[in-house]
Amino acid sequence: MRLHISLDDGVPIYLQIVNQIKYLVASGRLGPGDELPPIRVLAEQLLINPNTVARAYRELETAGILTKRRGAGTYVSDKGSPLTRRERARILEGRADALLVEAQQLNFDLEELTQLIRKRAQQFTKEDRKR
Amino acid sequence: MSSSDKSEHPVQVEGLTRRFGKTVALDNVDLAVRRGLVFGLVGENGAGKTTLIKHLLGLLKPQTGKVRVFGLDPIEKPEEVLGEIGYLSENRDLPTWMRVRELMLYTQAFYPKWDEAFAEDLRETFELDPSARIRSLSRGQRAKAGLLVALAHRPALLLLDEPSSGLDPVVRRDILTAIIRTVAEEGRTVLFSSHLLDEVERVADHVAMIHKGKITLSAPLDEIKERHCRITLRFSESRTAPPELAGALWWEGRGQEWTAVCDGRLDALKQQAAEMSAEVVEEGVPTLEEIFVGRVKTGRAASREV
Amino acid sequence: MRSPVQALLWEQWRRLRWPMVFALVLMMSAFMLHNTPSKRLALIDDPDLVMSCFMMILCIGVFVAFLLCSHSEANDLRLTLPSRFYTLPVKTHVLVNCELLFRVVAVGLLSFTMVGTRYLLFHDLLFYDEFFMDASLVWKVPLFLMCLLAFLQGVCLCPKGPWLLAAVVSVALLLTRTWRIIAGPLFDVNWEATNLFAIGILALFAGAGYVIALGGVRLDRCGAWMGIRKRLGQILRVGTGRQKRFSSPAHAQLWFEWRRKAKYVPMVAIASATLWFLVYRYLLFHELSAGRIAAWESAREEMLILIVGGGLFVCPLVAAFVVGMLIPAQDHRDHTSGFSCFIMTRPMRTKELATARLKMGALSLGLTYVFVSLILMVLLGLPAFLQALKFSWDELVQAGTPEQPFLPIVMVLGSFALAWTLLWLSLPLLGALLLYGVIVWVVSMLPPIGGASVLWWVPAILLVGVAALVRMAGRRTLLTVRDLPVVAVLGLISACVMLVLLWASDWPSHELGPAGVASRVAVSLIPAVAFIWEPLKLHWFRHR
Repeated sequence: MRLHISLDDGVPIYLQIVNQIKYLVASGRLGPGDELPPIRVLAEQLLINPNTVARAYRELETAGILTKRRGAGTYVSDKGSPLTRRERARILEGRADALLVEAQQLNFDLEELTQLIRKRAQQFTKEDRKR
Repeated sequence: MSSSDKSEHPVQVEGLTRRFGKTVALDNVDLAVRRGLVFGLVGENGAGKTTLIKHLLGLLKPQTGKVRVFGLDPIEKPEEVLGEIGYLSENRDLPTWMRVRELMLYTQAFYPKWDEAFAEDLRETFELDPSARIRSLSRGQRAKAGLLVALAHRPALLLLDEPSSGLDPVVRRDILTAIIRTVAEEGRTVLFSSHLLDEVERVADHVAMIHKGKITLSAPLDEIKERHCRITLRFSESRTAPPELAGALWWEGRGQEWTAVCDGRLDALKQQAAEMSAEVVEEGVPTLEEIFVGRVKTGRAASREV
Repeated sequence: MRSPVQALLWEQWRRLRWPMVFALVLMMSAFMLHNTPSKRLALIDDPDLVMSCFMMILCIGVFVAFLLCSHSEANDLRLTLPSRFYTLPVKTHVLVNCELLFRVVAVGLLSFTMVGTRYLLFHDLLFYDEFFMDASLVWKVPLFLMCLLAFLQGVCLCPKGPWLLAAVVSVALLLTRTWRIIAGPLFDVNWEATNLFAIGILALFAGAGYVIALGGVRLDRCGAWMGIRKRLGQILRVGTGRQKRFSSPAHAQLWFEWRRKAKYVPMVAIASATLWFLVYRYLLFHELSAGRIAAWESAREEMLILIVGGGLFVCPLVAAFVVGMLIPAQDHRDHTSGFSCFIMTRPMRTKELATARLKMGALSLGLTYVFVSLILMVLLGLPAFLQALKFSWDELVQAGTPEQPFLPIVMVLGSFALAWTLLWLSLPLLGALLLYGVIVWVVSMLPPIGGASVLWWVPAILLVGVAALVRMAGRRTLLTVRDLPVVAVLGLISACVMLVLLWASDWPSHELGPAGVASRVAVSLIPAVAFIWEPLKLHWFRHR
């Protein structure tokens, strides 16, 4: 599991961890029942304060994404992605905003952008079928 | 101080003042470090960080005020206090004629809690040759040796004075890892002073800024970052000098765009900007370095005016 | 500053001016002690002479040592040039010249001032015979000291120079009694003819020092020493250091002090003994030139022999104790760091740090006993010397004069022995005073003090009584700042009792001047000073 911490964003470190883990779970790279590294190990890997990692894990626990098994560590909960539709929509909205801004800068209007998205979606389904 | 205080705050400083001749090194400093946290002390050169740390070790006597480490006075009871502290000094003050193994043996005699296996493990991790003399070690290796003897007895308080100064990235990584490991173990506290603010930002729970012997800011890191903001304004016409806005610590820019780091009161600032017919182009959270530089420059400007 | 030479000399001046002033003050006060008005004219009855000569030479020794060690830094005694000099755009010989020039000139000027003042102030008072008041001494002593310093400083500037010199000297001494060969001409030759000879030898020494320094510094500057050192290490197969654990923090701290200082102790001991011997040998020249080589008849020569013998024994001891305590020098101007952080953050009480340091002083003293004994055995190989010593001793025993120069020497000796033993045993105050009593008793048995010996017991008993009371009052420890009042009071009591006893033992007939009394009292206070100085200093530096 590879996480990246950036200090320039202005986003608090624990929030970066929370978001990245959420993304990994949502995108399937972390499956249900997978074990997450212990707090100390992750802190050493990322060179950040263990208390920050602990805070991130706590938040994810309260959100129901992770469960802590006593004495055995922290695991992704089996319930699948418990993110509500609204939360998932919010993640996508963020990405959509970024895409729209970029498109505007590059002088693409909404029609051209939608065409582009459709084309890419077709490409993905083709590759899925090949697999 | 009550006994619960003692265990909750390994370091307590109240109203500490220290003069060297005419210069005031520390001016009414108050500090309380909670157990199990990483406490970062930042300040310019000569701001008083080393002086403060020396008071905690009992190397300087407070002229006014009180210093308590683990609830004890470090001057009255150097044995008890120093036996629980692991100290890495700024200039790696190690006897140059000793060999690495001798240094380990010598330091072991003073600390009953010395863990031999752990020390050996550290020595291998740091790749220090046991029969090498300290004078033949490079700067980074000396820092590692100093860190080894500071960590091996698992001190309740790890005191590091500019641990990363002048070191290569590999050694800096080792030092940060050591700090993280210390804090990850129950109840152990770290206090370190540093210039490298990106490191402080990574590992510190609580940050205190010292400027000319006074503590200008002491708060949890999250709070500091929430409180400050970086805002970019675009003015209708070019300016040669930054505008006078309350709450802005530090300005940077030219022409029509000016960026400020400001201390709270974001709404008031936006209002003032609107009054000056400037639009807010960008808003963000500043890094600790920007906050620090902003505060220091404000301090300097203020002192110049005075 | 317009030239590199000016800048280098200025730097030396700024660094050394206070030690030089200090040394000058010391020497001047030694002189004042020496020359207090006295009715006596004959030397043998003058007890002040010994004490003040002793102090004079001691001061010179201290001063010289100070100047030589002026490059010391926090952790290491540094005799060679710091490497920052090597990156200056000057030629090597300029560096060496400036270093040597400054100090040699400084020593020359100081000793010239000293001897000259003495001559001017006292030459008409006729206390002493023409030996000590000879006008030629005014230039001979400075010249001698200058050449000696040039040699020593030159050797010290060369990396590992002192070791090489010590090796050469010890080989020469032990192997073939070459000493006799060197000393022989000095004994046998007529003074008038040897004036030039002596100057020639001194110039040779100075020149040798310069050459050694130049060569050594040149090699050091281009880094050639590192290769030599590595190869030497391989040849000698230097060990890999300590392997065993320490039994206690005190043990570890003592090991620390030992490792840091032990290698310098024999060197300083030999250096101070040699210095003493050479100085008096040189001064004795003057006497020998008058043609009385083998006679050793007049009391003056006996006195001088005793001075030489006694000084040979005591001077290194003093130096050793000082070395054991003082190295490394601390930078008093740096108020923020003061003492070495490493030592000050040891989890030990200041008392224990002081104890370790004093124990080192004691150890270095013990080592020096051994070395000096060896040297004396070698010197005893000189038949003339032994004969003269025996002759003088017999004379003194028969004469039975109570005031002997021997006594102060033995007292100093006794004090140091006391300090050594009790520090090593870490005895509290009570034991210390018991030992003091024992040593005083031993001293009193020696002729020719004789009958007054029993009176020396009384101060010991008094002090023991007081100490017992103090101990019962609950103070069990020594060497803390809090003990300062106790030690001061005890010291005062001891001094007063000493004074009373000297009075009671028919002191006027012993013809002790106030200086003599003062010197005896001062000597008896030396252990107290040693006990209290070290922990005080450490405490002040540790918790400034």
